[in-house]
Amino acid sequence: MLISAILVNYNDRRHLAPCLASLRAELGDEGEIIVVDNASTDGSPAYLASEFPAVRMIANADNRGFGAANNQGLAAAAGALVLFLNTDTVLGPGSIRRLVQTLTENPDAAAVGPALIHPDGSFQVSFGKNVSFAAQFVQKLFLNPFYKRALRRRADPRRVGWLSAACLLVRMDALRLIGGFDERYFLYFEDIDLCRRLAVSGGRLVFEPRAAVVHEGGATTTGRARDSRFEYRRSQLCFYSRHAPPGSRFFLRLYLRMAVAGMAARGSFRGAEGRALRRRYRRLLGKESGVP
Amino acid sequence: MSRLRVMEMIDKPFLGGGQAIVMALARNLDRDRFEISVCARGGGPLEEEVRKDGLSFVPAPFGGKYSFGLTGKIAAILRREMPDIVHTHGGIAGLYGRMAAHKAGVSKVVHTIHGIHYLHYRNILLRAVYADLERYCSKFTDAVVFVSEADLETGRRLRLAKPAKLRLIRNGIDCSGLGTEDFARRAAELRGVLPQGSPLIGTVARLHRQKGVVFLLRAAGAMLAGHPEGRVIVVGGGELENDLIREIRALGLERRFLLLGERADAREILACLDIFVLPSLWEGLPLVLIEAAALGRPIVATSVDGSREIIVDGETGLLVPAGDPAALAAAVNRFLDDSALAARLGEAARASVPPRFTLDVMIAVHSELYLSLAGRNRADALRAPEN
Repeated sequence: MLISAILVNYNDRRHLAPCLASLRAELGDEGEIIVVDNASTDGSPAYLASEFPAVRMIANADNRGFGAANNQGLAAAAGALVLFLNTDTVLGPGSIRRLVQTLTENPDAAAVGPALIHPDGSFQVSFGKNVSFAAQFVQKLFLNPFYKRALRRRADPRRVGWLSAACLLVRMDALRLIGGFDERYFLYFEDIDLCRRLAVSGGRLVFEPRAAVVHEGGATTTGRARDSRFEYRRSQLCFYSRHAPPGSRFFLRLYLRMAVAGMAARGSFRGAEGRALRRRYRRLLGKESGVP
Repeated sequence: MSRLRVMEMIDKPFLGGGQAIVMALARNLDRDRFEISVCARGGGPLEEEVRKDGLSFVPAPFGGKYSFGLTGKIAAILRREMPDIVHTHGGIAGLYGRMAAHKAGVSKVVHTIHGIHYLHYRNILLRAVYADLERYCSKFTDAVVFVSEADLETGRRLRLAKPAKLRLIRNGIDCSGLGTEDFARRAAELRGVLPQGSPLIGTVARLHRQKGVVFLLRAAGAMLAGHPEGRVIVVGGGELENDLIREIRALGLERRFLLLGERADAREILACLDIFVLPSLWEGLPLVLIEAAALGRPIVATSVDGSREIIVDGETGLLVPAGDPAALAAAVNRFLDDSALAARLGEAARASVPPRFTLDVMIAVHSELYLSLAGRNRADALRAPEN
């Protein structure tokens, strides 16, 4: 068995069929599919069991977060290569073969990621050089529009500093060396953290735009935008504390303080839910934030 | 007789050397005689560890070096908890914690200096200021504990406290887990995961200027020159990570000098190393060096206070001057060229750990210290009846 595909499902039953169908077609006989269900309430586990009996399912009793669930899948995986894949994706034809080939051609590379495409055909920026307050600021403001246009013209593989784990092919031995995902992240930045640790433990990261994967994005967080924004900030602060240059954490906290003040002014903290959210932000930005 | 209530206080909630000692004390002091609580900033792995062991954790709002109003807040906590003894660890807890204990009227205060770090600050003025703060705080401290003989001597020379208050309690580690089959199995499994080529040279250290990891990096080229499959691995995270990554790239060692970050299985990784290096610029009494010795690793360390007390040059390891990559590389190459020497010194290192650096001794001496302080306190109370 060559490739173990690991998907984490959280209430995303509607995307499972097209995703798994494309994955099955792409993997052929060379792979196994493992779905870790993070306590979905939309009937996904029963649906999977009846419609995709060949898929190995690990059903969690509670939502342990994205990284922890992927690690569960990793522990059950037998492949020499691991494909981390979001449930709201559809693999383009030949994409897996292309990713495998790129990894084979680059023995120095630990991971390779494809171009991620919106359902309307436009590019997502799923890679970057490095992550710090300044780098994220520059990338979001200036580089992303440039990348998006450049991707339409140039399609050659390149070395990058991080890749999205929405679709990521990684060597198993590199994953075992770093011990998989850091489970202290609940959602967001666990992939950037993973890439960072892959890169500093001797593996290169390659972006391969000749492989294309349609990625809807945000499928499991719609309807809970405020919660997921908070999770994003919490994880961002975690990452900055661990890996970004010293100034980044300071500036992010300053920025978040201003953002919280702005949210208060716009009335985002009204009602019981709003007050709970404000308490969470206050705790995040306080001294005992739980963010090392 | 009621149990003696001891509060172990440290500022940061992450697991470093000082925290390891706090945890060792909290776990192993006799619970029939002591009621231990741990006070630190909440929310980190230390809190988890403490609570997991069913011990009481008291969160305190420790911040950076300069925290206005912190003394008052800790004093309020101490008035509420009212321990018989407050034992502070490290500079920040030592400063604010001891002032707070004084303010709250805690009867006995112990402070452990886990390495006299401020003497190595680059700012000369700060060195003097911190030494003076130490002297000031010692006035309301009943025992100032140093972790190595060299530090004790320095403390005496700088008159950091009255000579009668100075104590030496060496750090100790729990060796019982290292010889087990379970540990050997975990280490063997891990060896299958780590880079397969040999030699595997490495260190376990926070990425802080103190630990001198950059000198290991600068020596790495010369160490690995004759060993194309060799790797240097570093376990630990910290503020210098980005600087280190930049220098690794500049030296073109991305594939050979590997950063593994903070790991829970650092001891198992130590067991897999062919050579352990501790390139520190200064130390207290480095636990990791004791662990590497207890695991019988061939050791190259810098000749700094603390490390010198664990490793004897040419007998239980090789010592080199601090901050000298060439000397570091030469010592590592001596081991690489002479595997018999490496094996012999590693074995000698293993034999040298007990009984000097064992947990039992460290716990027993602390226990004695706490009891004698409390005993003196009771005698005082008898002599001067309360009004």
